[in-house]
Amino acid sequence: MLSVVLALTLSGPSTAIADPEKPAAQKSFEHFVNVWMSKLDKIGKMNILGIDIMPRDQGFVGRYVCYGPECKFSIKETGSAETPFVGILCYSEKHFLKKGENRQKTFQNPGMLTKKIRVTEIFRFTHGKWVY
Amino acid sequence: MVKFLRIGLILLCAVALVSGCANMTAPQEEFTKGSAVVAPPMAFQNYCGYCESKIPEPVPEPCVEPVPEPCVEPVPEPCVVEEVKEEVVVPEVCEKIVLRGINFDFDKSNIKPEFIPVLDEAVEILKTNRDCDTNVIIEGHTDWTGTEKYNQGLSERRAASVCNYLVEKGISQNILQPIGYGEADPIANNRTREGRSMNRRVVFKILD
Repeated sequence: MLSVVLALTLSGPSTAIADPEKPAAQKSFEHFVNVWMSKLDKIGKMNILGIDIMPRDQGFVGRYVCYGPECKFSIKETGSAETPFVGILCYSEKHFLKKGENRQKTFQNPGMLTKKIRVTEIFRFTHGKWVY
Repeated sequence: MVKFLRIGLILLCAVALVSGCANMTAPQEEFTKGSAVVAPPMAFQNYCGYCESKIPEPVPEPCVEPVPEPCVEPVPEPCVVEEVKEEVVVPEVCEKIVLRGINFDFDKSNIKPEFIPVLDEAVEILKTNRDCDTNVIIEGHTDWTGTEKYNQGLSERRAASVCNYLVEKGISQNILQPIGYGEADPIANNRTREGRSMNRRVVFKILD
């Protein structure tokens, strides 16, 4: 099971009348985020397995990208009839570097974090489902 | 008689002497006065016909051709190229905003009403807590359905369409750069339906 740290942020103008569909949309977005982060985790693992190792500076290097697993998410009412909510998901895109004397050792190297980019994904809730 | 001849001879000599002195040239007069005169050398012709000087002619100083100073080409000062200390700074991506559900109709790039809340949220993020001169690359990505050429053009039109929307909403066109990547930069496996859905996306790359 993916160890995803989820933090649900409930936000919105206090004076606005809450959309009665909002709790259901929130619940469904929480589930959607779990599934989405699982997909990203799978992509990251595939990236590690399929790492392209190249000779460099009398050794070998390989780079790959992973996502999350930490994330934050929230939903917002939009006032739009077609898309009453948007879901916002934030996580990190992590760039790693592996080094080694040969391909085998490079592959076995645990990898060093070289760059971290904040990613915000915006989804829309249209016709009762999250669209991507 | 002899006596008269002697007296006549003496008189002649005296007249000759007096007239000779009267015809003296200037140098001769100077000479008689005892001044040092540099007389022109007296030339005599010897038997071979050569002219030779009794008084050695003043040896002219050897005609030494003035040796021109060596023509040294002026050597230009070495062109010192000042080292440019500034490093070329390649802007790095510091943040990404991924717009999902911007699923244009087949061969279309118009903004549909259901996309607008997603785009408006992106505009709000861009406007909040960001320098107004932060550059943003708007990337359009497709899955691999269709030909490569078609997907390239489609992604370009879609990126441009989103870019136009941002400009309408007050984002400066100067900081936006729409780029179409076609199917060239997938993040997931195009062989599955799920993978293709993840690959169809519009990404804002916010540069440092």
